[in-house]
Amino acid sequence: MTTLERNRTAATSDATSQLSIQAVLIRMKNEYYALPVVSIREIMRHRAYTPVPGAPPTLPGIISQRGTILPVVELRLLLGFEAKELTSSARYIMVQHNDIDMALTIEAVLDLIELPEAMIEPPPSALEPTRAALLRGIIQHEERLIAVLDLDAIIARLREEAH
Amino acid sequence: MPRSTMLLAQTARRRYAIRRDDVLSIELIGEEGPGQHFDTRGNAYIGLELGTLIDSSDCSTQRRRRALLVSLRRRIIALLVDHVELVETEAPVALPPLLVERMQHPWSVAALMIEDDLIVQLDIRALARSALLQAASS
Repeated sequence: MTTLERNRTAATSDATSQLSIQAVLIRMKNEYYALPVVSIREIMRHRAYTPVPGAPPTLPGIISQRGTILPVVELRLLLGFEAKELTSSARYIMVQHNDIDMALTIEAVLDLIELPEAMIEPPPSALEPTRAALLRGIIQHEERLIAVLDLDAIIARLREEAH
Repeated sequence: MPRSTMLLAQTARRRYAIRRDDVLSIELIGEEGPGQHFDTRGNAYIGLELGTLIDSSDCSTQRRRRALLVSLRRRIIALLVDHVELVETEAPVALPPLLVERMQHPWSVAALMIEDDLIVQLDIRALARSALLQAASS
């Protein structure tokens, strides 16, 4: 069992899980985001993906991970950022959520953090609505303002852009 | 494990797998490049670069080209590539459903591993139809 799997198990079985969320802290541009550990299967170093002809920019290609073919999601584009060249800090976060497997392209993974659920506030009204719709909320954590990503909303956005 | 026989087409930058049955024939053409050509039976066909149809930066500098002839009703389209070979592979795997739902063009249908490379299997007939529409509108 990997550290991530142990943490995920702990996050679901621990009685305190109702009060806090274990999440991976990630950086995109100069902003901080949190992705709940419960849906994360694995984190791996970014490598070139295989472009898929006819695919949209937010789902530009595929990678094979242990024999499973996963779509690559350009999370930066979904969040409204430009998808510039990635550095050696870039990672794929392999996510499984509601039977959907995907590899999120992330600029940098910083830490594993615990966020008190009660402290998560709705996204500020000044935030761009298309980005705010992908967030569960925001939280102040160790002097950082962190946006908590909502995987349901991310998958819904990916699907609705198809129509 | 079931095996498949596929064409492996090489453009300047990529390799693609193509079902052998989707290709009428494979011709070797010289320096004429894209444009109108005639196959060995005298049938006229339009030649278009496969690489640039998919990705404008995928431009070949090679002069001798292989033409994959695809028959669409009364038209024959030739998709030009650098190199093509017949390979026996594991059966292709369908693309992830999330990606299939989102495709802007129905050009890619599956993926397969060849020599440790993840290769996309193209629907060459769908690509030829798009190419024909593109050629007609330009």
